Amino acid sequence: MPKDKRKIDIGAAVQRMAKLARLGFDEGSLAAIERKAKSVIGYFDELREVDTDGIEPTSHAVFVETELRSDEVKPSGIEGGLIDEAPAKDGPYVQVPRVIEGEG
Amino acid sequence: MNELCKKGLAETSRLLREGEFKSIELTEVYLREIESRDPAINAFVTVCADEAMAAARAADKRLAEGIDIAPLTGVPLAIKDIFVTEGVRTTCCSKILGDYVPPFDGTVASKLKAQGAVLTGKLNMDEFAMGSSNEYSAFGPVKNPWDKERTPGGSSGGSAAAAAAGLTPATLGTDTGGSIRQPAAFCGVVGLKPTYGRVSRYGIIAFASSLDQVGPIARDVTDCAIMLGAIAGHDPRDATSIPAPVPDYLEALTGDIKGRTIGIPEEYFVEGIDPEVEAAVRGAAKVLERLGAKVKEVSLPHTKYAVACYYIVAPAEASANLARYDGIRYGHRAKGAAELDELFRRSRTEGFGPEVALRIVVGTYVLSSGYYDAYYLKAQRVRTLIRDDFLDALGGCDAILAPATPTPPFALGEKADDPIKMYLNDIFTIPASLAGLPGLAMPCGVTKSGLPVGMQLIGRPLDEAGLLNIGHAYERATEWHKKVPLDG
Repeated sequence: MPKDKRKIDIGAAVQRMAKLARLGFDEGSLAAIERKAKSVIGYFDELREVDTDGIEPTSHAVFVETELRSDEVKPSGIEGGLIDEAPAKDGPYVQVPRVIEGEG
Repeated sequence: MNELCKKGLAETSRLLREGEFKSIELTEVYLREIESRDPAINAFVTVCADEAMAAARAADKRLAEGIDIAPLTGVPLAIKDIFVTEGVRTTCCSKILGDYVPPFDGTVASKLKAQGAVLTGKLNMDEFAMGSSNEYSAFGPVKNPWDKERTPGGSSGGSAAAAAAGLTPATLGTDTGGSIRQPAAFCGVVGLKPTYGRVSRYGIIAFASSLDQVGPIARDVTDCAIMLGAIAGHDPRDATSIPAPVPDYLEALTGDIKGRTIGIPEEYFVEGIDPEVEAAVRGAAKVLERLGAKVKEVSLPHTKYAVACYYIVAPAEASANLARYDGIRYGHRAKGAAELDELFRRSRTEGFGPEVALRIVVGTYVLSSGYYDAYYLKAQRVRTLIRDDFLDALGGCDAILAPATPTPPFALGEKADDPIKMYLNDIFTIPASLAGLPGLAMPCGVTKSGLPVGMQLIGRPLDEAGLLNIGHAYERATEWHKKVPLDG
């Protein structure tokens, strides 16, 4: 954890994280989320007192060896259904806003 | 309330097989009960009456022919709205999934269907399973059938409330940090979070992938054992599912616990625990002792760090899992966005509720450059210590007995605006989640003001059968599981 807590500007951090996570907040909701994020992140300081020197990190509680399968193409049978889920489509194509500049 | 809705899963299943009533009759009864009584509880977010009646007719045919009959054949069941169900709206109680109707069944839904279970509907929950009170659902909070001013717990609040109110004979939930056990305790029913990897998560909407697990909620241990038997097992479509054989959970319910050793962790009986909860759980230890178990003290010294550890790990994983909601492939899409980035941002901002947005922000923060080691890696190391505590303790006992929650169910609105207060409510369920261990929550008392109290048994990896048997022995010696207000 950063040594000097005063140096963390949660307000600026929340806005930066929101940008990274593709979220936007209006003024009212920004104030609420800043207040809550500050309290949650502040609470993490409890872990400072735990001595974790030489302790391996756990990413999954149960270790399961990865099972490998042969790399084969198999039809899912639901290709059409998956495309149908798209909120904007044109025939069998999913529509997105223009991402490439130029004429079209 | 119709008498049929008071019957548990085992009895319902037996009577269907004996031809006492048909699945279509039973399904009609449940659909009527849901229509008339659920508005006061709000456990259901989708009722699929037509699909249910069709499934019931098919099940009746199977029952009449006597071919391929399974314990769930013809049994009307509702499940949490986190399970992907083909042709039936699946929202995870989030606006961002809107009216998502999946084109496929997840493994658990397929297993229920293959057994001939009748899906009556999808149950309310906190949005994306993030919450402990069901107040963060896009469909509004569920009311606790014991006291409608109180929360049923979360995130599987709809599942626990529906089981407690007799709107489904048994159900399924998911548990990431306590989302089966805490609502089961708050609604006076039985809930089992199996070992991480015991049940496939293919087709279950992801929250925190190193923690999520599926499990049953029902009104007694036997019914939980039947449900677990129906869904457990290895699945090649879930790389984290454990390739271990599934025991016969019903056969394990001998009720004999002589010589079993039960550990009591003193760290779970600290400041903040309600005295009536403490008394009820200590009373349960006495009952188990009377039944022939040995009770001893154990120590889980890192318990107090579990909540902070969890609220780093789970939001970090959630922030990655929820990156998939982009407004393009499925779910809510903002109108009129001219650019791709604007489409992402506006679709997500409009679609996610405030608690989910908070967790995405916190999760992004703990994973971000400069903070990763200090928060995320630190939490993963603390997680190792918490897990080691359990493995040490369980080296000297067969199961650990602890409270499921620090207090009886709290009032709706009481904690909704204070994340730390809300998060601390899961202090007794989070540690076993971090360690990947099975945990069984079940009723062990009722407070003076008439609210249920739940205890929790935590076991060794894959020892669900051992936990269920201890729970079954306790049930045979007590009456707490019969106190549930079925006409809630």
